[in-house]
Amino acid sequence: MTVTAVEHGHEPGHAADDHHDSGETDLPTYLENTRRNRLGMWLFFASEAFLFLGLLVTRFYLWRGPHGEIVRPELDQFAGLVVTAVLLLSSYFMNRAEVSIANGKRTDFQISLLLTAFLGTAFLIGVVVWEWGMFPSLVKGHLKPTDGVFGAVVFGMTGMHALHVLSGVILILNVWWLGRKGHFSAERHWGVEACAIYWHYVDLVWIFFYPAIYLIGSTIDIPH
Amino acid sequence: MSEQSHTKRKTAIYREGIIVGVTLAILTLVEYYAAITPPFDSFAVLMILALLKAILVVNYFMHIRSVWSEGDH
Repeated sequence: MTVTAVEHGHEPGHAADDHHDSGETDLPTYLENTRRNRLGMWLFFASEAFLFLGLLVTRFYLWRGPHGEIVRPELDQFAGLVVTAVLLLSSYFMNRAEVSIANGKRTDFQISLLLTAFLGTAFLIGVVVWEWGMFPSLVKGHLKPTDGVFGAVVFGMTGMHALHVLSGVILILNVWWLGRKGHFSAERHWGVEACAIYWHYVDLVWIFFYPAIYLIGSTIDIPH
Repeated sequence: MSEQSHTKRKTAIYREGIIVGVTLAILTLVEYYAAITPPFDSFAVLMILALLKAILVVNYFMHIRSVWSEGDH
């Protein structure tokens, strides 16, 4: 049954696959299910928002100077800007991948997905090597997780975000692999859409984390 | 839908992605320079810039309208 579904461009395990009709007949069911899936995905984002908002509130509550002013540790501004640009670029290619499969341009879809995964990995490497200083022989990190509230919050925020980037990259590679096998079509590509909006959500979180960690507040010296 | 209008629509969708991507890049640079240029380095200015970027991503990349619209995005 799964083989037949893939041949017709269906997504296995989907309710629409239970029908033995041609793809034309059960397309309305598929679209109806996709609408429900979208709502589910947004409810998932809402639940995740509590986690990330909690981290943001923690940052603004704990990072205060002696007079209550907003402060931040001195971090590598260039690294922050570069990883932000890389993540934004990856979002563009993810969007391109989704638009491409919706228009039946498979090669463009596959290439755009690979570029997104590559840029997502580059973002991870940037954070791990540059900001965390996991490889001191390459780059010396600025903060350690043990550096009081500053270290704890920086590693808490970037760590939780990096975990989502990592899961996003794995998801993208999975979608790329399924796409290679002809799993998606212009009419049926909920798997691609779900992966895309998840990736954009990860980008959305960084849109707020970037200024909160790197830009807002006056810098203070952290005693190591 | 004629072949010509379909092609035009495809081109428009691709162009939309590029325009949004470039706008996000510009806003990020504005954000970066605002942070080192008093008095624009305030919490309010930087959060407004972040909100603008978030609106673009949610609206154009995440297709939030498709959650309640009848048609496919």
